[in-house]
Amino acid sequence: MCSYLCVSHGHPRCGGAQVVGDYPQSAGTDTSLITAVQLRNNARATFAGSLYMFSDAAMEATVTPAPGHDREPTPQTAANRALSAGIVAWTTQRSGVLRTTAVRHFHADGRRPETQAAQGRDGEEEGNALPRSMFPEAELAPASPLYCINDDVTYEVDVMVRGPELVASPRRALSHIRTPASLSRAGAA
Amino acid sequence: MVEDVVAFLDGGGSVFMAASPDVSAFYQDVAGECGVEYDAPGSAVIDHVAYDAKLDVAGDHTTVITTHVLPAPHVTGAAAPGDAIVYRGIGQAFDPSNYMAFTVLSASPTAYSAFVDQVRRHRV
Repeated sequence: MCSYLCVSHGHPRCGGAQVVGDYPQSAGTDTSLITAVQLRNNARATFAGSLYMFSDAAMEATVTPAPGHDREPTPQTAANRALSAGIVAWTTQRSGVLRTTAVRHFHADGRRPETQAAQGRDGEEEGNALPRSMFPEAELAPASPLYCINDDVTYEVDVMVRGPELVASPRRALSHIRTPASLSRAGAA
Repeated sequence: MVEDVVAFLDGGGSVFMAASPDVSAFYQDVAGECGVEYDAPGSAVIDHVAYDAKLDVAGDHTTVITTHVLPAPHVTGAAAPGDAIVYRGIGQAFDPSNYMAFTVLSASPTAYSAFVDQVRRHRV
């Protein structure tokens, strides 16, 4: 004898006896046990639904899968302590925080870009001098470096990751940074 | 009260919240401000296949085992996918279009979230 679910022209029935009226609120891996949110200002909020999983009893427990489960019946220590430490470190900004420093950019052949001030006056000598710009601020604009479209530019940035020591290299964190295909990726460590 | 926590988050502070199945309205509201919804108070995550035989003293299969850990060491620390986590509590849900929220620990494929007293078991 086995349970079965059949759908007739009316309501779905379970075992042919009762009509299924209530459905679970969530099922399977869609049921989130710990949910984390990182807001736009980099504030982090973590929501867990169990106090028991952070208790001493759970952290020191040996997991005993129920009979009939497909896991090997080898006793295994629950990883609650490691997960608790990790998720709290992430929430309190002690792990998984990126910082970019040392932004450098220059022409692909190594030339430093010209500044607007070094360009010369409009219309003099070189006929293709760019018009002057006051963006972003009039005091700073003359020192702005200039690139033209179709210039090949090398852009280098150092990215530092504050993370757990067991991460072998920051490259996995960098894999989430999207760069346009036309930019050089030289300097990605 | 809820506004104070939201103002704290807006100021860049971080919040860690752990609830039990009788989650209060305050907790539900704070989570709701971030787009995360706790399941109905009183419900529990139940798994008739992946439960812990020794720790489930109530016998209602609410002490569940899951190995579905987010594969992100920066978030989960030393815990990796495949490590067994024992859990007894309430579940959460969030809109998949909320790209700022993500699941750190999800239940086994055989788990579901429901009220314990509405579960009837039939012997096969």
